[in-house]
Amino acid sequence: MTQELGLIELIVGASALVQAVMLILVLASLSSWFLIIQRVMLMRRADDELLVFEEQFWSGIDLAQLYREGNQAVTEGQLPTGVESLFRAGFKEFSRLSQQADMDADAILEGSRRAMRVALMRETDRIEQHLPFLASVGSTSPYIGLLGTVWGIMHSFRGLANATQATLATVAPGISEALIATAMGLFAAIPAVLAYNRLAARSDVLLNRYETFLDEFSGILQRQTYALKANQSQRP
Amino acid sequence: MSVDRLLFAGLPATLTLLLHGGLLLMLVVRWSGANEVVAAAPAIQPIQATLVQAETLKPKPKPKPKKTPKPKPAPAPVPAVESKPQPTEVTQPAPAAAPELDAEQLAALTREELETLVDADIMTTGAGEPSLRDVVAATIQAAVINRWTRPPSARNGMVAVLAIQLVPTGEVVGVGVLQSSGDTAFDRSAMTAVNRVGRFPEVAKLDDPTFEANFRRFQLIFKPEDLRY
Repeated sequence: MTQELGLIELIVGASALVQAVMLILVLASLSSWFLIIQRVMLMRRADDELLVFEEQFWSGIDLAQLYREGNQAVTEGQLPTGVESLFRAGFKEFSRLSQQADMDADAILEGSRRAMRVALMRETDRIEQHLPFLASVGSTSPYIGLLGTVWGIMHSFRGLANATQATLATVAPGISEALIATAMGLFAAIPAVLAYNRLAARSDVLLNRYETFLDEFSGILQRQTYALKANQSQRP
Repeated sequence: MSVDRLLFAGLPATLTLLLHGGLLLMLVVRWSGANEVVAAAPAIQPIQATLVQAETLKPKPKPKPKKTPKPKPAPAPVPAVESKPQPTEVTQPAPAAAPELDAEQLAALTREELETLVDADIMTTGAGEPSLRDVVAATIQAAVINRWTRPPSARNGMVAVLAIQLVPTGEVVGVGVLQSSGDTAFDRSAMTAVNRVGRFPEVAKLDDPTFEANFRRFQLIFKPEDLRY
């Protein structure tokens, strides 16, 4: 009487739609965990890079030298990421514009700020990439799992209608099998929601720090631009 | 760059697969243990559920007329074997009318006549299905009474309630004393009567829902009310 109900037997015995639901949920769970781990690694690296770069930046190093150091890495094929890309974009634009004699200070400043804004946008995209996927896994996979469960229970009750002797044992396997879908949905959803909230908060903090750096760097550039222009106006 | 890409794709992929594989393995390995618990719980549940739901075999009017002729010297050497009244029939006006019959008249009636009277009541008031149920109940009652020999220690007013379990073929698979009369010999005589019958062939004719609802487990009440003392 005690029929062995293995997990594998339950999944294999499920109806096609329930199996499809389970497959979707397994894929969702796999990809969301992949993204969670990858994003956390990326976030951690961005934090480290920011710390290292800020230390270097405020150590009193000559900005042109810092830029040149970065050049070396770029020629090696490593594209600048994080706050370094902001710095490089701003400094490049600044040096390019300040070489043109007819540029006034405000235009130079505006140009370099715009270049940094563009770089910041790009960084925002890079950091927040795939986060919406986690959000949608978190919000939809319980529903997908529920659909599988409802469908499975529906079927097991339909089977019950044809059975002459209706016992709990007739429906129990079907319901058990159907409930696996909900369990899988929740299993996929809970980490995704938690990770989404955590990663969204962290990326906000990171982007705020980028913006702070952008403003600080524009302050430095402003000082330099006005000093440069003052020199130029005195000379003729 | 390629090392970087490998790190940011390979490591999460490996970790993800390891996590899911480990979880699946854990579930598959521990599944059988969890299953035993799950399997044990529903096995107990139905027993308790059906026991609580006390079953009926015979409508109320029977004991009432029997009680009235009690002081008389036993019109027939027949013990009353009945069970709790079915709620639907208690509310019916027909069984209520039965006790209104003259006590003397009732006393003169034999057991079979009473039974047909009761059955007729049910026939006129109830639907076809409950009457079949009651016919089966009556035959069970008759079969048990025929094989019941009361011990000398039996007294009027003793009540023993037996819980009887049947299988769909009518075989008795379990007899137990639900409520003792206080006299072991009396309880044992009642149990012996049921065991002697052994099988109620009429039960096999019932359809499954009726059997499950009424005769899978039911109670028989043993009352010797026709004794002189």
